[in-house]
Amino acid sequence: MNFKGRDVISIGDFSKDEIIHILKTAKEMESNPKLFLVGKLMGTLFFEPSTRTRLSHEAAMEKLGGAVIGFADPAVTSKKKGETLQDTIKMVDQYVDVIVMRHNHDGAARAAAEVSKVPIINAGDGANQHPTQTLLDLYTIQKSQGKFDGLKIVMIGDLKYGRTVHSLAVALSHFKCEQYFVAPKSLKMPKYVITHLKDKNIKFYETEKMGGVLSKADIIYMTRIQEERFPDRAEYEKVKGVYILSKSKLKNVKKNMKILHPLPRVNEITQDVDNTPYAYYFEQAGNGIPTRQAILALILGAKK
Amino acid sequence: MSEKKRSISALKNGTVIDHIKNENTFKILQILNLKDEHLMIGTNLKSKKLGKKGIIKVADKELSKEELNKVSFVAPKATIALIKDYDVKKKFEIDFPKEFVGVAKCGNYNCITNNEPVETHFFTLSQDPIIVKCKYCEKVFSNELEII
Ligand SMILES: [Zn+2]
Repeated sequence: MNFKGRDVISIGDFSKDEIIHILKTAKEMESNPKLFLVGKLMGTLFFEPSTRTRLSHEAAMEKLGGAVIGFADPAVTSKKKGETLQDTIKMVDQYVDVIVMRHNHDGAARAAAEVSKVPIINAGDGANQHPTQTLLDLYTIQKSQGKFDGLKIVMIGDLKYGRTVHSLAVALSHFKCEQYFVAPKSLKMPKYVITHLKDKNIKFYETEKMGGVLSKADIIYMTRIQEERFPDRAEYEKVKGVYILSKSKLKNVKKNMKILHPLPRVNEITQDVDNTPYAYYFEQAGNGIPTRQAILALILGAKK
Repeated sequence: MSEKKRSISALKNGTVIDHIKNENTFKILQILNLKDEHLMIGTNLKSKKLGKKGIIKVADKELSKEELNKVSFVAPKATIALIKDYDVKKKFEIDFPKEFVGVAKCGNYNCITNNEPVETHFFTLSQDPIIVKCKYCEKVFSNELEII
Protein backbone atom coordinates (compact mmCIF):
# COMPACT_ATOMS: atom_id res chain seq x y z
CA MET A 1 0.00 0.00 0.00
CA ASN A 2 1.52 3.32 -1.00
CA PHE A 3 0.69 6.38 1.08
CA LYS A 4 3.58 8.53 -0.13
CA GLY A 5 2.41 12.09 -0.69
CA ARG A 6 -1.09 11.47 0.71
CA ASP A 7 -2.88 14.15 2.67
CA VAL A 8 -4.64 13.22 5.90
CA ILE A 9 -7.66 15.50 5.90
CA SER A 10 -10.73 13.48 6.77
CA ILE A 11 -11.23 9.98 8.13
CA GLY A 12 -13.75 9.44 5.33
CA ASP A 13 -10.91 9.63 2.78
CA PHE A 14 -9.55 6.30 4.05
CA SER A 15 -10.82 2.85 3.19
CA LYS A 16 -11.09 0.05 5.71
CA ASP A 17 -7.92 -1.58 4.36
CA GLU A 18 -6.02 1.69 4.55
CA ILE A 19 -7.11 2.22 8.15
CA ILE A 20 -6.03 -1.31 9.05
CA HIS A 21 -2.69 -0.70 7.38
CA ILE A 22 -2.11 2.52 9.34
CA LEU A 23 -2.94 0.70 12.60
CA LYS A 24 -0.58 -2.13 11.70
CA THR A 25 2.19 0.37 10.99
CA ALA A 26 1.47 2.12 14.31
CA LYS A 27 2.00 -1.20 16.07
CA GLU A 28 5.35 -1.59 14.35
CA MET A 29 6.29 1.94 15.37
CA GLU A 30 5.51 1.13 18.96
CA SER A 31 7.33 -2.19 19.12
CA ASN A 32 10.27 -1.37 16.87
CA PRO A 33 10.93 2.35 16.66
CA LYS A 34 13.66 3.45 14.26
CA LEU A 35 14.96 6.77 13.00
CA PHE A 36 12.85 6.61 9.85
CA LEU A 37 12.69 10.35 9.21
CA VAL A 38 16.22 11.70 9.66
CA GLY A 39 16.67 14.79 7.52
CA LYS A 40 12.92 15.42 7.19
CA LEU A 41 11.36 18.65 8.37
CA MET A 42 7.79 19.02 9.64
CA GLY A 43 6.01 22.39 9.81
CA THR A 44 3.40 22.79 12.55
CA LEU A 45 1.02 25.60 11.67
CA PHE A 46 -1.33 26.09 14.58
CA PHE A 47 -3.60 28.96 13.55
CA GLU A 48 -5.60 27.96 16.61
CA PRO A 49 -3.72 26.87 19.71
CA SER A 50 -3.88 23.24 20.87
CA THR A 51 -0.90 22.39 22.98
CA ARG A 52 -1.52 18.68 23.41
CA THR A 53 -2.13 17.97 19.74
CA ARG A 54 0.93 19.96 18.71
CA LEU A 55 3.18 18.32 21.31
CA SER A 56 2.02 14.87 20.26
CA HIS A 57 2.83 15.50 16.59
CA GLU A 58 6.17 17.11 17.44
CA ALA A 59 7.16 14.27 19.76
CA ALA A 60 6.23 11.73 17.10
CA MET A 61 8.37 13.50 14.49
CA GLU A 62 11.40 14.06 16.72
CA LYS A 63 11.39 10.49 17.98
CA LEU A 64 11.69 9.36 14.37
CA GLY A 65 14.76 11.55 13.93
CA GLY A 66 12.96 14.34 12.08
CA ALA A 67 12.97 18.03 12.92
CA VAL A 68 10.19 20.51 13.54
CA ILE A 69 9.57 24.19 12.84
CA GLY A 70 6.36 26.14 13.17
CA PHE A 71 4.21 28.38 15.25
CA ALA A 72 1.85 27.62 18.09
CA ASP A 73 0.22 30.96 18.58
CA PRO A 74 -2.04 32.62 16.05
CA ALA A 75 -0.91 36.02 17.31
CA VAL A 76 2.44 35.58 15.58
CA THR A 77 1.11 34.25 12.29
CA SER A 78 0.86 36.02 9.01
CA LYS A 79 -2.91 35.66 9.27
CA LYS A 80 -2.81 38.71 11.49
CA LYS A 81 -1.15 40.61 8.66
CA GLY A 82 -3.95 39.63 6.31
CA GLU A 83 -2.18 36.91 4.37
CA THR A 84 -4.53 34.25 3.08
CA LEU A 85 -4.26 30.68 4.32
CA GLN A 86 -3.40 29.41 0.85
CA ASP A 87 -0.59 31.96 0.49
CA THR A 88 0.85 30.94 3.85
CA ILE A 89 0.82 27.31 2.75
CA LYS A 90 2.46 28.11 -0.60
CA MET A 91 5.29 29.77 1.28
CA VAL A 92 5.76 27.17 4.03
CA ASP A 93 5.69 24.23 1.62
CA GLN A 94 8.93 25.61 0.15
CA TYR A 95 10.64 24.92 3.48
CA VAL A 96 9.24 21.68 4.84
CA ASP A 97 8.47 18.09 3.85
CA VAL A 98 5.11 17.82 5.62
CA ILE A 99 2.69 20.28 7.22
CA VAL A 100 0.59 19.64 10.33
CA MET A 101 -2.06 22.31 10.69
CA ARG A 102 -4.87 23.28 12.98
CA HIS A 103 -7.30 26.00 12.00
CA ASN A 104 -10.49 27.48 13.37
CA HIS A 105 -12.42 27.28 10.09
CA ASP A 106 -14.17 24.13 8.87
CA GLY A 107 -12.55 22.87 5.67
CA ALA A 108 -9.30 24.82 6.09
CA ALA A 109 -7.15 21.72 5.79
CA ARG A 110 -8.80 20.68 2.52
CA ALA A 111 -8.28 24.18 1.12
CA ALA A 112 -4.63 24.07 2.22
CA ALA A 113 -4.07 20.64 0.66
CA GLU A 114 -5.32 21.93 -2.69
CA VAL A 115 -2.41 24.32 -3.03
CA SER A 116 0.29 22.53 -1.04
CA LYS A 117 3.03 20.58 -2.77
CA VAL A 118 3.78 18.67 0.45
CA PRO A 119 1.31 16.47 2.33
CA ILE A 120 -1.04 18.15 4.83
CA ILE A 121 -2.03 16.50 8.09
CA ASN A 122 -5.23 17.97 9.49
CA ALA A 123 -4.85 18.41 13.24
CA GLY A 124 -8.36 19.83 13.53
CA ASP A 125 -10.31 22.16 11.24
CA GLY A 126 -12.97 23.99 13.23
CA ALA A 127 -15.75 21.62 14.21
CA ASN A 128 -15.16 19.41 11.21
CA GLN A 129 -12.44 16.75 11.31
CA HIS A 130 -9.51 15.57 13.40
CA PRO A 131 -8.52 12.35 11.66
CA THR A 132 -5.37 11.58 13.63
CA GLN A 133 -7.47 11.60 16.81
CA THR A 134 -9.84 9.10 15.23
CA LEU A 135 -6.95 6.88 14.14
CA LEU A 136 -5.38 6.95 17.59
CA ASP A 137 -8.77 6.12 19.11
CA LEU A 138 -9.05 3.13 16.78
CA TYR A 139 -5.49 2.10 17.60
CA THR A 140 -6.29 2.33 21.30
CA ILE A 141 -9.42 0.20 20.97
CA GLN A 142 -7.60 -2.44 18.96
CA LYS A 143 -4.58 -2.44 21.26
CA SER A 144 -6.63 -2.78 24.44
CA GLN A 145 -9.09 -5.38 23.11
CA GLY A 146 -7.08 -7.14 20.43
CA LYS A 147 -9.89 -6.81 17.88
CA PHE A 148 -12.84 -4.73 16.67
CA ASP A 149 -15.42 -7.28 15.61
CA GLY A 150 -17.94 -8.15 18.29
CA LEU A 151 -17.02 -5.27 20.60
CA LYS A 152 -19.65 -3.19 22.35
CA ILE A 153 -18.62 0.45 22.27
CA VAL A 154 -20.47 2.89 24.52
CA MET A 155 -20.17 6.64 23.85
CA ILE A 156 -21.37 8.96 26.59
CA GLY A 157 -21.95 12.68 26.99
CA ASP A 158 -22.12 15.38 24.34
CA LEU A 159 -22.65 13.36 21.19
CA LYS A 160 -24.07 16.28 19.25
CA TYR A 161 -21.16 18.70 19.15
CA GLY A 162 -18.30 16.30 19.82
CA ARG A 163 -16.64 15.78 16.44
CA THR A 164 -14.47 13.08 18.01
CA VAL A 165 -17.41 10.77 18.58
CA HIS A 166 -18.94 11.45 15.15
CA SER A 167 -15.75 10.45 13.37
CA LEU A 168 -15.23 7.49 15.68
CA ALA A 169 -18.76 6.17 15.13
CA VAL A 170 -18.36 6.48 11.36
CA ALA A 171 -14.89 4.89 11.36
CA LEU A 172 -16.07 2.01 13.57
CA SER A 173 -18.79 1.28 11.02
CA HIS A 174 -16.06 -0.42 8.96
CA PHE A 175 -16.11 -3.13 11.61
CA LYS A 176 -18.77 -5.28 13.26
CA CYS A 177 -19.02 -3.41 16.54
CA GLU A 178 -22.23 -2.63 18.39
CA GLN A 179 -22.48 1.03 19.26
CA TYR A 180 -24.35 2.50 22.23
CA PHE A 181 -25.02 6.23 22.38
CA VAL A 182 -25.80 7.68 25.79
CA ALA A 183 -26.70 11.38 25.78
CA PRO A 184 -29.33 13.83 26.99
CA LYS A 185 -32.09 14.47 24.48
CA SER A 186 -30.63 17.79 23.35
CA LEU A 187 -27.15 16.36 22.73
CA LYS A 188 -27.98 13.23 20.74
CA MET A 189 -25.83 11.84 17.94
CA PRO A 190 -26.56 13.86 14.78
CA LYS A 191 -28.78 12.48 12.07
CA TYR A 192 -26.04 12.12 9.47
CA VAL A 193 -24.15 9.70 11.70
CA ILE A 194 -27.30 7.71 12.46
CA THR A 195 -28.20 7.55 8.76
CA HIS A 196 -24.69 6.37 7.94
CA LEU A 197 -24.87 3.57 10.52
CA LYS A 198 -28.28 2.48 9.24
CA ASP A 199 -26.98 2.43 5.66
CA LYS A 200 -24.13 0.21 6.74
CA ASN A 201 -26.38 -2.09 8.81
CA ILE A 202 -24.56 -1.37 12.05
CA LYS A 203 -26.31 -2.34 15.28
CA PHE A 204 -26.67 0.70 17.48
CA TYR A 205 -28.76 1.81 20.44
CA GLU A 206 -29.63 5.27 21.73
CA THR A 207 -30.53 5.98 25.33
CA GLU A 208 -30.52 8.79 27.86
CA LYS A 209 -29.62 6.51 30.75
CA MET A 210 -26.10 5.43 31.51
CA GLY A 211 -26.91 2.74 34.08
CA GLY A 212 -28.10 -0.09 31.88
CA VAL A 213 -25.30 -0.11 29.36
CA LEU A 214 -22.12 0.18 31.44
CA SER A 215 -22.07 -3.55 32.27
CA LYS A 216 -22.26 -4.44 28.57
CA ALA A 217 -19.37 -2.25 27.47
CA ASP A 218 -15.97 -3.32 26.19
CA ILE A 219 -15.10 0.33 25.63
CA ILE A 220 -16.62 3.37 27.31
CA TYR A 221 -15.80 6.56 25.45
CA MET A 222 -16.53 9.55 27.67
CA THR A 223 -16.91 13.11 26.44
CA ARG A 224 -17.37 16.39 28.21
CA ILE A 225 -20.70 18.18 28.37
CA GLN A 226 -20.11 21.92 28.06
CA GLU A 227 -22.52 24.39 29.53
CA GLU A 228 -22.35 26.72 26.53
CA ARG A 229 -23.91 23.99 24.37
CA PHE A 230 -27.23 24.34 26.16
CA PRO A 231 -29.84 26.87 25.07
CA ASP A 232 -31.00 27.35 28.62
CA ARG A 233 -29.25 26.94 31.91
CA ALA A 234 -31.99 24.95 33.57
CA GLU A 235 -31.56 22.18 31.05
CA TYR A 236 -27.82 22.08 31.73
CA GLU A 237 -28.37 21.95 35.48
CA LYS A 238 -30.64 18.94 34.97
CA VAL A 239 -28.05 16.85 33.14
CA LYS A 240 -24.72 18.11 34.40
CA GLY A 241 -24.42 15.58 37.21
CA VAL A 242 -25.92 12.67 35.30
CA TYR A 243 -23.18 11.75 32.86
CA ILE A 244 -20.35 11.37 35.32
CA LEU A 245 -18.34 8.21 35.64
CA SER A 246 -17.16 7.42 39.16
CA LYS A 247 -15.61 4.31 40.67
CA SER A 248 -18.87 3.35 42.36
CA LYS A 249 -20.59 3.01 38.99
CA LEU A 250 -18.06 0.49 37.75
CA LYS A 251 -19.01 -2.42 40.04
CA ASN A 252 -20.59 -4.61 37.40
CA VAL A 253 -18.46 -3.83 34.37
CA LYS A 254 -16.64 -6.41 32.27
CA LYS A 255 -13.07 -7.21 33.29
CA ASN A 256 -11.63 -6.20 29.93
CA MET A 257 -13.52 -2.90 29.80
CA LYS A 258 -11.44 0.22 29.15
CA ILE A 259 -12.46 3.85 29.56
CA LEU A 260 -11.32 6.33 26.92
CA HIS A 261 -11.56 10.11 26.78
CA PRO A 262 -10.08 12.54 24.25
CA LEU A 263 -8.88 14.75 27.15
CA PRO A 264 -8.82 17.20 28.77
CA ARG A 265 -11.40 15.92 31.21
CA VAL A 266 -13.05 18.18 33.71
CA ASN A 267 -15.25 16.22 36.08
CA GLU A 268 -16.96 13.66 33.83
CA ILE A 269 -14.54 10.99 35.04
CA THR A 270 -13.83 11.35 38.74
CA GLN A 271 -10.25 11.00 40.01
CA ASP A 272 -11.03 7.76 41.87
CA VAL A 273 -11.41 6.00 38.51
CA ASP A 274 -7.79 6.70 37.60
CA ASN A 275 -6.43 3.88 39.76
CA THR A 276 -8.86 1.24 38.53
CA PRO A 277 -7.76 -1.20 35.81
CA TYR A 278 -10.41 0.35 33.55
CA ALA A 279 -8.80 3.78 33.24
CA TYR A 280 -7.07 3.96 29.88
CA TYR A 281 -7.31 7.62 28.85
CA PHE A 282 -3.72 8.55 29.56
CA GLU A 283 -2.45 5.51 27.63
CA GLN A 284 -4.82 6.61 24.87
CA ALA A 285 -3.03 9.96 24.71
CA GLY A 286 0.27 8.08 24.62
CA ASN A 287 -0.99 6.04 21.69
CA GLY A 288 -1.06 9.28 19.74
CA ILE A 289 2.70 8.94 19.34
CA PRO A 290 2.96 5.63 17.44
CA THR A 291 -0.20 6.48 15.48
CA ARG A 292 1.20 9.82 14.32
CA GLN A 293 4.59 8.25 13.70
CA ALA A 294 2.92 5.73 11.43
CA ILE A 295 1.09 8.48 9.54
CA LEU A 296 4.27 10.54 9.12
CA ALA A 297 6.41 7.59 8.05
CA LEU A 298 3.78 6.44 5.55
CA ILE A 299 3.05 9.75 3.86
CA LEU A 300 6.74 10.67 3.73
CA GLY A 301 7.45 7.36 2.02
CA ALA A 302 9.72 5.97 4.74
CA LYS A 303 7.31 3.05 5.26
CA LYS A 304 5.09 1.25 2.82
CA MET B 1 -48.74 23.91 -36.32
CA SER B 2 -49.65 22.48 -32.92
CA GLU B 3 -50.80 24.65 -30.08
CA LYS B 4 -47.64 23.93 -28.15
CA LYS B 5 -45.25 24.76 -30.94
CA ARG B 6 -46.96 28.06 -31.63
CA SER B 7 -46.61 29.28 -28.06
CA ILE B 8 -42.88 28.60 -28.06
CA SER B 9 -42.49 30.10 -31.50
CA ALA B 10 -43.60 33.44 -30.19
CA LEU B 11 -39.92 33.99 -29.49
CA LYS B 12 -37.80 34.87 -32.52
CA ASN B 13 -34.35 34.24 -31.07
CA GLY B 14 -33.45 33.21 -27.55
CA THR B 15 -33.91 30.57 -24.89
CA VAL B 16 -36.95 28.93 -23.34
CA ILE B 17 -36.55 27.51 -19.85
CA ASP B 18 -39.47 25.17 -19.26
CA HIS B 19 -40.56 22.86 -16.45
CA ILE B 20 -39.38 25.13 -13.69
CA LYS B 21 -40.68 24.22 -10.26
CA ASN B 22 -43.47 26.77 -10.01
CA GLU B 23 -42.31 28.48 -6.82
CA ASN B 24 -38.78 28.83 -8.17
CA THR B 25 -39.71 30.65 -11.36
CA PHE B 26 -38.74 34.08 -10.14
CA LYS B 27 -35.60 32.74 -8.50
CA ILE B 28 -34.34 31.91 -11.99
CA LEU B 29 -34.61 35.57 -13.00
CA GLN B 30 -32.60 36.47 -9.97
CA ILE B 31 -29.80 33.92 -10.37
CA LEU B 32 -29.41 34.67 -14.08
CA ASN B 33 -29.50 38.35 -13.28
CA LEU B 34 -32.15 38.97 -15.95
CA LYS B 35 -33.16 42.62 -15.84
CA ASP B 36 -33.08 44.40 -19.15
CA GLU B 37 -33.73 41.38 -21.36
CA HIS B 38 -37.01 40.97 -23.20
CA LEU B 39 -38.75 38.36 -21.05
CA MET B 40 -41.94 36.35 -21.17
CA ILE B 41 -42.82 34.65 -17.93
CA GLY B 42 -45.51 32.11 -17.21
CA THR B 43 -46.35 30.70 -13.81
CA ASN B 44 -49.03 28.43 -12.34
CA LEU B 45 -49.13 26.50 -15.61
CA LYS B 46 -50.39 22.93 -15.55
CA SER B 47 -47.72 20.25 -15.73
CA LYS B 48 -47.94 16.47 -15.65
CA LYS B 49 -44.45 16.20 -14.20
CA LEU B 50 -44.57 18.98 -11.62
CA GLY B 51 -48.23 19.72 -10.92
CA LYS B 52 -47.66 23.41 -11.43
CA LYS B 53 -44.77 24.81 -13.36
CA GLY B 54 -43.17 27.99 -14.52
CA ILE B 55 -41.74 28.91 -17.91
CA ILE B 56 -39.39 31.72 -18.89
CA LYS B 57 -38.58 32.91 -22.38
CA VAL B 58 -35.56 35.14 -22.78
CA ALA B 59 -35.02 36.94 -26.08
CA ASP B 60 -31.60 37.01 -27.71
CA LYS B 61 -29.84 34.97 -25.08
CA GLU B 62 -28.05 31.64 -24.94
CA LEU B 63 -27.16 30.17 -21.55
CA SER B 64 -23.56 29.41 -20.74
CA LYS B 65 -22.58 26.18 -19.03
CA GLU B 66 -22.15 28.07 -15.80
CA GLU B 67 -25.62 29.57 -16.09
CA LEU B 68 -27.10 26.16 -16.84
CA ASN B 69 -25.46 24.88 -13.66
CA LYS B 70 -27.13 27.61 -11.67
CA VAL B 71 -30.50 26.92 -13.28
CA SER B 72 -30.22 23.21 -12.53
CA PHE B 73 -29.60 24.01 -8.89
CA VAL B 74 -33.07 25.56 -8.45
CA ALA B 75 -34.85 23.81 -11.30
CA PRO B 76 -33.33 20.36 -11.64
CA LYS B 77 -36.04 19.13 -14.03
CA ALA B 78 -35.98 22.09 -16.37
CA THR B 79 -35.84 21.67 -20.13
CA ILE B 80 -34.03 24.19 -22.26
CA ALA B 81 -34.99 25.08 -25.83
CA LEU B 82 -32.77 27.20 -27.99
CA ILE B 83 -34.77 29.25 -30.53
CA LYS B 84 -33.40 30.58 -33.81
CA ASP B 85 -35.71 32.30 -36.27
CA TYR B 86 -38.86 31.02 -34.54
CA ASP B 87 -37.53 27.46 -34.78
CA VAL B 88 -36.52 25.11 -32.00
CA LYS B 89 -32.88 24.68 -32.84
CA LYS B 90 -31.96 22.53 -29.87
CA LYS B 91 -33.94 21.12 -26.96
CA PHE B 92 -32.50 19.30 -23.98
CA GLU B 93 -33.00 18.48 -20.34
CA ILE B 94 -30.40 19.94 -18.06
CA ASP B 95 -27.82 17.42 -16.93
CA PHE B 96 -27.77 17.63 -13.21
CA PRO B 97 -24.10 18.18 -12.38
CA LYS B 98 -22.25 15.85 -10.03
CA GLU B 99 -20.43 18.89 -8.68
CA PHE B 100 -21.22 22.57 -8.33
CA VAL B 101 -18.24 24.90 -8.38
CA GLY B 102 -18.72 28.56 -7.56
CA VAL B 103 -22.52 28.32 -7.85
CA ALA B 104 -23.82 28.61 -4.31
CA LYS B 105 -22.60 29.96 -1.01
CA CYS B 106 -21.93 27.42 1.73
CA GLY B 107 -24.58 27.57 4.44
CA ASN B 108 -22.02 27.07 7.19
CA TYR B 109 -20.76 30.47 8.30
CA ASN B 110 -17.60 28.90 9.74
CA CYS B 111 -16.73 27.22 6.44
CA ILE B 112 -13.38 28.27 4.99
CA THR B 113 -15.17 29.35 1.79
CA ASN B 114 -17.02 32.02 3.76
CA ASN B 115 -13.85 33.28 5.41
CA GLU B 116 -11.06 33.07 2.85
CA PRO B 117 -10.92 33.51 -0.93
CA VAL B 118 -11.66 29.83 -1.64
CA GLU B 119 -14.23 29.03 -4.34
CA THR B 120 -17.20 26.99 -3.11
CA HIS B 121 -17.46 23.40 -4.29
CA PHE B 122 -20.33 21.00 -3.61
CA PHE B 123 -20.79 17.35 -4.46
CA THR B 124 -24.26 16.15 -5.38
CA LEU B 125 -25.46 13.41 -3.05
CA SER B 126 -29.02 13.33 -4.33
CA GLN B 127 -30.83 15.00 -7.18
CA ASP B 128 -34.42 14.67 -6.04
CA PRO B 129 -34.58 16.14 -3.50
CA ILE B 130 -31.40 18.10 -4.08
CA ILE B 131 -28.83 17.26 -1.42
CA VAL B 132 -25.27 18.50 -1.73
CA LYS B 133 -22.18 18.20 0.44
CA CYS B 134 -19.58 20.92 0.83
CA LYS B 135 -16.16 19.69 -0.29
CA TYR B 136 -14.50 21.73 2.45
CA CYS B 137 -16.55 21.74 5.66
CA GLU B 138 -18.28 18.44 4.70
CA LYS B 139 -21.68 19.79 5.78
CA VAL B 140 -24.70 18.50 3.90
CA PHE B 141 -27.35 20.87 2.54
CA SER B 142 -30.57 20.80 0.57
CA ASN B 143 -31.13 23.44 -2.09
CA GLU B 144 -32.00 26.37 0.14
CA LEU B 145 -28.42 27.57 -0.33
CA GLU B 146 -27.86 31.11 -1.47
CA ILE B 147 -26.84 31.27 -5.11
CA ILE B 148 -23.72 33.31 -5.80
ZN1 LIG C 1 -18.68 24.50 3.52
